[in-house]
Amino acid sequence: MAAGSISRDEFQSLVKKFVDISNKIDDKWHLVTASSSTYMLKKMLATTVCCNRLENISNQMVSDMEIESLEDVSCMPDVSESKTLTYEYHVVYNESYAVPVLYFNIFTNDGRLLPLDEVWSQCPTHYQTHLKDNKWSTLTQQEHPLLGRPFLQLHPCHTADFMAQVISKSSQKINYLACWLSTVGPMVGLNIPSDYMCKD
Amino acid sequence: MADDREILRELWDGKIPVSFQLAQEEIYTVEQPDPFFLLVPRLTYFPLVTDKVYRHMVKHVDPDHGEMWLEFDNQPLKWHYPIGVLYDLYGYQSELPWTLTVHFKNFPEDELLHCPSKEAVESHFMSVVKEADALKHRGQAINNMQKKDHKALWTGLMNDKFDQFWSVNKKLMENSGEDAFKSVPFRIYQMDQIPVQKLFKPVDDNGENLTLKNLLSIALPDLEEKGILSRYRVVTQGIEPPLDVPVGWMSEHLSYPDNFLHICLVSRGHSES
Repeated sequence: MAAGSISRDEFQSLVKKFVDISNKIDDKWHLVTASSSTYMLKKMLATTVCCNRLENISNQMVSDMEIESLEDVSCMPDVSESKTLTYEYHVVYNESYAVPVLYFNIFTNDGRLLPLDEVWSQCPTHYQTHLKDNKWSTLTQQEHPLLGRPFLQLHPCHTADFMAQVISKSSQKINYLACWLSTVGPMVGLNIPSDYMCKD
Repeated sequence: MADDREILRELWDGKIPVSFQLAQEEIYTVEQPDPFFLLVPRLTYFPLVTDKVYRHMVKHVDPDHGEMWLEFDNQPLKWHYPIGVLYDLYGYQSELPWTLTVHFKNFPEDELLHCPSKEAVESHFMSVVKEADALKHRGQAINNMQKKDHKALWTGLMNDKFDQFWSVNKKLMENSGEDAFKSVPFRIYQMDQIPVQKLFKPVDDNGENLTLKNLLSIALPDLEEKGILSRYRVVTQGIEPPLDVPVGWMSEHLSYPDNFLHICLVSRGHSES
């Protein structure tokens, strides 16, 4: 196993532990099995203010279980300026690179997929310089390897190198999944609470 | 590296005659558009060869149309699979020209990737090439290349330049000594099923070459167990290779430009009906 990569068995045990912590803090991740592989899934609703970037919405994220209470959020922007999007994140093991990969889709109110150019423009400001020249090699639509349907994918080809650096610089054992997800997630509206970083 | 250039050239020149017809219910003009005929390379992707089809058909649809997409026999065609794979999977042994329906409405976005530009095709192609090299050489061959080499691979495919493409691709096909393939990049397709992709070493622990038969039994243990593999034709690049051919040889000679072997299992009942 090359530095920074993980085996399928390691992945399986990491996602199980991750979901255990998620259950404790009600972070809505759960495990799904398809094509005899296990992956980790989270769905959430988020209200985004039109023309603004994802970082503005973090306080208004609500889970899909809480749609009813959405109207109670006191700082809800005017309806005309905001739209509610459904985010579905999948963390899937990729055997070719021996790393986890983040797949996701963003659905609009009417159940349509948010177009790729809108997804790019929604990425937080500090990712925009990188995206300007590299959007087609960073974040694109791909076929989900277990479902065969179109999903957006953060490309996995640098994950192992990146994680190898993190691991070599860290003096203690890190939570691989939490560390990776908290690095790539914020680019696409996914935040990882620090509870996952604690050791078990 | 593949030494049999004749085979590579033969595959590169493989073409399929296609008749494109506009979906009847989408014709907006009084005048009926003629079908559009093209001889398309097996190794390329539809969005790289259908500009003319678009221009020919778009005059006949509602100006408020959506993205163009293709269908065969009620099956939307995934543009991100090479054309030869789509033909082997859905059209194998069907009458020629292969008759496809062109749509500009009701894009099936739960099945097809959007293709807003040729950059989408390039991005997809390069990501598959990178994945293939991650499997073969742990990514070392592709990472040692310069950006202009990556570009040469892509433009070689896009502009149908065999020599340009292979001047770079030979480095990705290096299969000796330290550069011997660690795994063979392959995908196996069956109609209405998710493609199968697994790790597969081309050589066993005793140094023996593993064959296509070995690959199928590892990739599709169910079919092997039930003894029903013989109900399928095993097709790649429009041919049915003998099952005792070494997979390493196949990878060097029969891979698509994206460096993957794309193998289709076609039900014998289906292809003969």
